[in-house]
This record gives sequence, structure tokens and C-alpha cells, in this order.
Amino acid sequence: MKSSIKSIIIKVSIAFLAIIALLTYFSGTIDNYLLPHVTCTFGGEGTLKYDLRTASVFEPSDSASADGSELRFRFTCDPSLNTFMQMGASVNVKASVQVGKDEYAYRSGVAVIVGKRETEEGIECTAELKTMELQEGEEMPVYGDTVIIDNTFESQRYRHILMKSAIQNGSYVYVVTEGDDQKRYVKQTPVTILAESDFYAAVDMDADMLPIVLTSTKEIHDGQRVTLDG
Amino acid sequence: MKKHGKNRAVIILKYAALILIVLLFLLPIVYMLANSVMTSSEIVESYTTSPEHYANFHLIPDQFSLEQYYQAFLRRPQFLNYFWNSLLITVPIVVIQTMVSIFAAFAFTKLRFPFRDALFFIFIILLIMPSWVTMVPNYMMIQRMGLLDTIWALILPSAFTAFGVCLLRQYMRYVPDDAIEAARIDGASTLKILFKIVIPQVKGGIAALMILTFIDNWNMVEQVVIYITDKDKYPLSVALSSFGTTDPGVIFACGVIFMIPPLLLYLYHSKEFKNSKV
Repeated sequence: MKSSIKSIIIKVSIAFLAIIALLTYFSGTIDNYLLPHVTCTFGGEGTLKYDLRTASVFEPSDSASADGSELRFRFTCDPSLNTFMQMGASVNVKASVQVGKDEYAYRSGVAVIVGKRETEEGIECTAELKTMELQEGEEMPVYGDTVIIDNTFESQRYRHILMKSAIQNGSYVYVVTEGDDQKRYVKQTPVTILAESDFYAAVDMDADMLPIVLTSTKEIHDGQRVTLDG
Repeated sequence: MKKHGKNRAVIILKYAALILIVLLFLLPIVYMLANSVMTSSEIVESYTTSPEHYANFHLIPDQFSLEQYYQAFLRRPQFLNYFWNSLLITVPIVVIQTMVSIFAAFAFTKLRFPFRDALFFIFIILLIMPSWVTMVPNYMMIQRMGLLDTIWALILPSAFTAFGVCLLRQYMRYVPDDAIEAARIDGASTLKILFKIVIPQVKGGIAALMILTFIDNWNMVEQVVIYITDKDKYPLSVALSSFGTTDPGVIFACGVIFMIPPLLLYLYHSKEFKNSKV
């Protein structure tokens, strides 16, 4: 009796491992067979938010005005941000400016990139503050020579895509919206992860210009590979 | 008569308490099994953060579904790879640790050599030392050996532990010296004594050691996070958490599959395990 139970357990174990082994061996074939076929259309305007934060200390360039109202500053960023650092691109800025000994005033606003060049350290950009608002409770004018920039790069385009997407480094972004009875996916947008967070991702320039929306009648989940019909 | 009634009440109370404790221990497992056969939408509904959060708690599925198992086995090929990673790490550890422990425990118990007790005392010290203490030296040694990010970084430190030696030594102490002496007089070699006389008498201990080592290393997490950076080499114990991000239901099915190998091992050795005595 005892040995028969043991033999049953051994058989169950072997069967279990054999099933797992077979499934592993044929996983590629099975996966391909089960992939949903989808039709492919070009997406219209989307909204994608990429929220990249860099906090650094930058020296204002020579043209920075004393009161900070036309502050022009220079900063160097990672080459992977090249996509975003286009001439005329807006940069959200929080500036902390020294106003006296151990005293700082804080301002936030929008700066526009007015110059750009590639250096060994990365992309060197020159940006000019366009609007600056005093933080609540601050009334002091801003002057001095040290500006701490907390950059938030944001694009209203494609905001929705990344907010609901499965992001993998070097992989693809899929989900855009869910329709009534079908899901719509943005296909194959190469992304570069800059930090481990849903929103901290950069999107490739080409995909940024022309995302493709996939429509599938079958159930598909984020990040899943699909077979294209068109 | 009155005493008889009182005894019965005590017995009922004892059983009630035992049943309550058993239910408490079984609840997570039953909950996992129940959730693994629910539909995705039902599971998501169960985990909503509404004020009626606990009202959604239920163990009987509204609709029985094997969708989660389908997802785990057929739609997530990486799950199978992680499963094999777990086996590739755990089985060598169990085999090596069992072999090493049998030989070492036999030496510490039945062989006579200088400083035997002093050496065993050092073993005991290693046993009471938390694994975190040796984590940094282990890391440095593994790095020097060029084994970082390989499964050997997990196998080697875990294969040689004092726990198995101490456990088997306790079992071997109960093997009568007379039997060993008799075998020796009959001309049996030390290895023959070990395999023909000692091991058959400590089967329960070996089974216990194998089960405990298997479970301990099957659930390995910290070492993996420290020694392995390539996520494709992660065992299931660590990778399991990544399955629930897009589809929380799948994690229950993965959890059920995850507990099958230790369960089978325990069932196989349950007789020896229960009958073993130290």
C-alpha cells in the first residue's frame, strides 16, 4: 500500500515535469499559434506623457539678467534625451536662485531651448526662461549666480499612450484606449527607459511622429506580441 | 457522571480550538486555490478598494474558470523558464547538501579524530549565525571567482550549510554503536557501514533534511536579488511577483503551480518524515 502510494507520487511527479518540459519546449510554437491577428491602422493624435526629471546645478550663461527675468542658462543632459531637446522645445523649470547668504528664492516656469550642441558629456542645451512665477509666499526678486533646475519635460501629445502601457526597455508600447468591445493598441513604439517608473520613459522620435494603432477583436494584454494582418 | 460530561466539554473545546487553528493555517492556501479558478474580472472585482472591500471576499467562484492556468502555462512562456530556473537551483542544492551532511554528520558522530568536538562546536556557531552575516563575504568570494550572475552563485553558498550536519548528527546519535562495531569486526569498511547500517536507520532524518532544504531554497529570494542581475535567470520565487502586474489573477495560478513540487516531495517522504524521531 505504502509503495503503491509512493509509485503514484513518482508517476505524478514525472507527469508534472514532463508536461512542464513539453510546454517549455513547444512554448514558442504554442505562443505563435495563439497570437491574436490584428488589423493595423495609423493612429491620429494621441497624448503621451514623458516625464523626465533631472535635478542639477547649472551656471547661468553670460546673458542671464541680474533679476532673473530673462534668465538664460545652459545645461548638459543625457544623450538619450536627444529626442526631446529640440530647438524650441519647452522645458518646465523650477529654479532656485540664491538671493543672499544662505537664502534662496524659488520660481517655476517654462524655458525654451534656444541652443543645442553635442559634447562628450552629452547634449549641451541653452534654454531661456519665458515665464516665471513666484512660488506661493515668495516675493523676493531673483538674482544671483546659481540656478538649480528641476526639469520636467512634458509633451501633451501621446500622454495617454504611456500612461496605460506596458513598458519594457528596448521593447514595445501597446495600449492606447479600450473601446466598447475591443481594445486598441499602439504598436511597436521603441522606448528607452530612463528610470524605473511608469512615466519615466522616452519615446523614439519616429514612433513619436507616427504611431500605429492596432485593433484586435481577440483579448490581448499589455506588452503582448501580435501578428499583423495589415 | 458529572466528571464525564466535563471531560467531554474539554475535548470539544480542544477540538474546536484545533479546528480554528487549522482553518487559520489553511485559509491562505484555500484562498489561493479558489482564486486560481476564478475569472480575471471576478478577481479584479475582489480586490477593488471600495468601502465594501471585504464584501467582495469570497472563496467559491461565481464562475469556474481555468483561464489563469491557461495564461500561466500557454500564454506566459517565461513562467516555464522561471520554473526550470527554480529546479536548476534547488535540486543541486538539495543533492549536494544532503550528501555533504550525511558524510559530515557521520564523521562527527561515529568516527574518532582529533578536535572532533571542537570542530563541531564551530559548526554550531555557523548554524546560529544569521545568513546576512556571511552575505557580504560570500558576495566578495563569488565575485572573485567570477560566478556572479550565474546559478552557481546561489548553489554554492546554500549547498554547504551547518544545519543539515547538525540535524543528521542528532539522528545518527541514536544508531547503536554496537551495530557499527559488529559490522567493523565482520570486516565492513567505513563507507559500507555508512551506507548499509547508518543511512537505512536515519532515513527519516534524511527525508526531513531534503524536504526542509528543498522548501528553504525553493523559496529563495534574498540571495537571488543580491547575486543575480539577469532577470532571465531568476527563479520562480522572485519572478512570481512580476506576473501579477498586468493580470492579478495569473499570480494565483502561478502560486498553485509553484507549491506543487515541494508538496509532491513532502508526500513522497511523508511516511519517513512522520515516523522519524530524534
